[in-house]
Amino acid sequence: MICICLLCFIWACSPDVEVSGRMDSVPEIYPDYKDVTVPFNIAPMNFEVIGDSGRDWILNIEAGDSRYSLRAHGRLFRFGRRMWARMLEEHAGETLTCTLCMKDRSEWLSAEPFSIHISEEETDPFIVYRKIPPGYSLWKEMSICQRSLSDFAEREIYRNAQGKGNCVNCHSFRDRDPDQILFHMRSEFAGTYVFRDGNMEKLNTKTDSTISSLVYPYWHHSGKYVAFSVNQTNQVLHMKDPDRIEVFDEASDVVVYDVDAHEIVTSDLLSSSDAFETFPTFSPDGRSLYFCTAEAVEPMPERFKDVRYSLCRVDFDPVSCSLGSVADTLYNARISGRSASFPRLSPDGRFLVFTLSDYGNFSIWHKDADLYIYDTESGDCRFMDGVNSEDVESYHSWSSNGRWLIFSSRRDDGLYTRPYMSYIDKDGNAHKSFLIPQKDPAAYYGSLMFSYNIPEFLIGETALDGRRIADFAESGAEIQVNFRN
Amino acid sequence: MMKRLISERPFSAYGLLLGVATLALWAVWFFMYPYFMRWMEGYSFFSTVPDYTGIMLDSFKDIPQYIGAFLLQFFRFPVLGALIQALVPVGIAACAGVVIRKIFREPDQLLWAAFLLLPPAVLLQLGDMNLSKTVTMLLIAAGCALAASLSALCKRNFIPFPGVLHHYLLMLAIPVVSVGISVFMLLDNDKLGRYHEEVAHLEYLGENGDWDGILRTVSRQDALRNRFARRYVLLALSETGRLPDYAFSYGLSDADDFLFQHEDFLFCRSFNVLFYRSLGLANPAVYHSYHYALQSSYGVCFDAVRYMADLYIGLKDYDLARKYIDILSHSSCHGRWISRRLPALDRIRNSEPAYAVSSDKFIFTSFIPDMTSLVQRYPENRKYLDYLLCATLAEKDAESFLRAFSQHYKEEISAPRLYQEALVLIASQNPDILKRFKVDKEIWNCFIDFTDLMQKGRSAEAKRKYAETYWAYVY
Repeated sequence: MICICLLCFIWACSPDVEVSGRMDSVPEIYPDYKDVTVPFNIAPMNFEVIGDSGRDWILNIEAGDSRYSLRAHGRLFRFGRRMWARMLEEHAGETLTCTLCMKDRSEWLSAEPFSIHISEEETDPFIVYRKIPPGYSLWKEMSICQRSLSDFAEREIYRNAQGKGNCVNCHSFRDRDPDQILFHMRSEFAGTYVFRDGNMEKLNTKTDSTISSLVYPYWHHSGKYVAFSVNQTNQVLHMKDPDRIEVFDEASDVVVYDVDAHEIVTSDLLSSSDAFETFPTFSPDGRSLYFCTAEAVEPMPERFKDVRYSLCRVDFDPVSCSLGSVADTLYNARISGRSASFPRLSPDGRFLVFTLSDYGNFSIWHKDADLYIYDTESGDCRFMDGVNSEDVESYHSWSSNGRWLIFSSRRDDGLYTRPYMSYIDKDGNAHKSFLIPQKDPAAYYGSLMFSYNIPEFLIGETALDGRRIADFAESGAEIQVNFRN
Repeated sequence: MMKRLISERPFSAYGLLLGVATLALWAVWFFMYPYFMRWMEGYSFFSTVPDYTGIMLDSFKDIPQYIGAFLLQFFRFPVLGALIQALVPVGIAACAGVVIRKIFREPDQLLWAAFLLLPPAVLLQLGDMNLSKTVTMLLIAAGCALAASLSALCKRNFIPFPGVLHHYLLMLAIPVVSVGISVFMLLDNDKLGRYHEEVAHLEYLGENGDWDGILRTVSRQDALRNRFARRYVLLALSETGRLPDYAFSYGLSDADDFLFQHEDFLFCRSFNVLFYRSLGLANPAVYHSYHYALQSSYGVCFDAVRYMADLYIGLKDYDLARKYIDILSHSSCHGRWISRRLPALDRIRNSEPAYAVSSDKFIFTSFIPDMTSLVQRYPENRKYLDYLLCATLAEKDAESFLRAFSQHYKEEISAPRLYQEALVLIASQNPDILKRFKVDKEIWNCFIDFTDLMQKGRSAEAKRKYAETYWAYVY
């Protein structure tokens, strides 16, 4: 209470200074929140002025008839949570004009203003991601975390130290539903864990008819099926290259898992020995299955640069759980020369965002990886100006209203992936992206030795907790998944 | 005099003996294990950054490890590290002394019993890399002392002890024997033996680029006996340009002797970092730094963070170099280390990172193919070539040796000794190659003498006389 009063006091009593001139240069800020579009329910977007320590800084904000002013703590502008929330709610749909003022000797100078547009379209309240060091084949600490987007609260859903230090990966939710989740564990207590409406299952997904356990998942919106890839994946180290490692498949197929029957089905089209099929994604209406496919090449890894994935679509009948026999090609790698991965459709099914890189499928380690958007109505495919940087942009997912895209990017330092969000308008145009806010973003992200992996939106808080997962992993009965011929 | 002191002022005598124990243990640690203590610091990690603190202090049982991590920072300075290592068991004995004084009758005559805890406490320290066991025992001892002190507020000195145990000789003998046993355990222990100290010493020399120091420290016998010594000395030979002259003098027997390709024990990864750093291959150096960090019980360690900070400064990658330096700035003992790097960090602030151009991607497979790839791409790099040629010689692969050799050595150039010895040997099967390459007459004469001795059945003498030659290795 005292803190809240103090914050209100600081905000209310913030200085009203007389500006006597313009600054010569435009100060840079971290995170770069200049000219971004943000949801009205986003957490306070604290930021820091880069360089010029030891000076006084003030931020003047104009929104409609309202004016706000905030003094920096050193170089850090930290907004009061309640005042921030009220400001965004009151001015949803409007633009904040922000002017940085710096005290130079005895006079105050102002910088060129920048804007923050407040969208009336809200974001889902939570995101879930895995925090993992940006490593290679070994690991130590990792956790799957849930973060509230309207404040800074983060909760660990599962930390691998709660179990036996095993690897947990590929968390996936059915349509952003916090009560329907699956993930894999590797090493100790290996298996696929499916959590549905309060019940948990541990699956042994190795079968004689598939080349590996289930890997990259995507839920059918009905919750009755999950499409998976099965992959024989390997990793090699680049000797001298900005891309550190190469992760590649020596074989891969796509299968559909029937959640109730505990059975796997596939088709010749999705499990050809002449092709590497991977990254399946159901369409929102559940009648199509999108996937990436490349001509199989040998030997690997010697020919890793020759593998390029096309983006295809095949019919799916959710009643009979059967797959079509003809594939449409949306992005043809043989013609276009690059490689597609991670197709993700907007909830209305109109836009498909995917990653393009020069070759291969593990785009998170490719500095050339960028996000592209495909309009399923017009067939147009274009580079997403607002979201891409010179570094890696890769894993991405849509909010439930289809207006927000969250994705991981290595743009901050070239190594640690950070979660960025971008507003996608009704025409599929991506607005300038912004880093997920933190209380003290420079200090937090600067010292954080974990990457954000697989950021996903959630429409509510998940009830799943680590202790329960660890207990179940140790003592839960295992269900054998069968292959349906 | 001691008898008088013990009889008349037993508590002072007890304090004096604790002091002597501290000094003795400190001296053993400081003089016998200075580099191992430095290594312990490098293998540990402590930071005040919130994320790390959250992970470290996840539950109540993590507190000893957290305190241990804090203390380990000071092992960077062996004087302080030795003091901490000495004070922990002595502190446990001191806590036991408090308990004795509070609950036993005529306690000052029984203080010798506190020294009985000294050897077990020292035993616990051996192999306790993160100090969590010793800190736990110290905390338990401190808790007992506190409990005894609190109970003494109600009732004190209530437990009698047989009078026979109140003998001044016990007050002298038990502490002396306890300290003696403790010192002996420190000196004669498998977990913390001289072996680890030797390797830690070599690691220290290597990190500081003291290659001549390594060559002075490691004898031929050391290199044969100790696989770490062998690799360090081969690295030192490479760094000083003497690999093609002395590689086989130090037990080189296959390409695996150059680095740890298939082993993952303590010290292996840090050696690999040094190896790749010396080759100017930042990517594998970072890779091994990272895996080295994962081996530590903290999932990250100071050595790895320092390696990465230096590697990224070398790569002019300001963002990552600054990140790791910032992380180190949240620890207690890196002020000087950081201030020495700040000028370099400042110089690269606006530089473009110096990563290789990605048009020519090539990947790691195993040592000889990797070196072959590097020699093809960087033919001017002598280190790569020497590693390739020496590895092929170690594998007794004359064909590969000759192929690589002939691409880079012209006939008029006098090749290093080992290469000439290999040429002579190959020439015994294929005399034509002597038309293409120059071999010194002296080496020819030695080879004639060597083969003469061998043919006379005096192979032991031949190998002894020409112990450092390639011929001795082959036969």
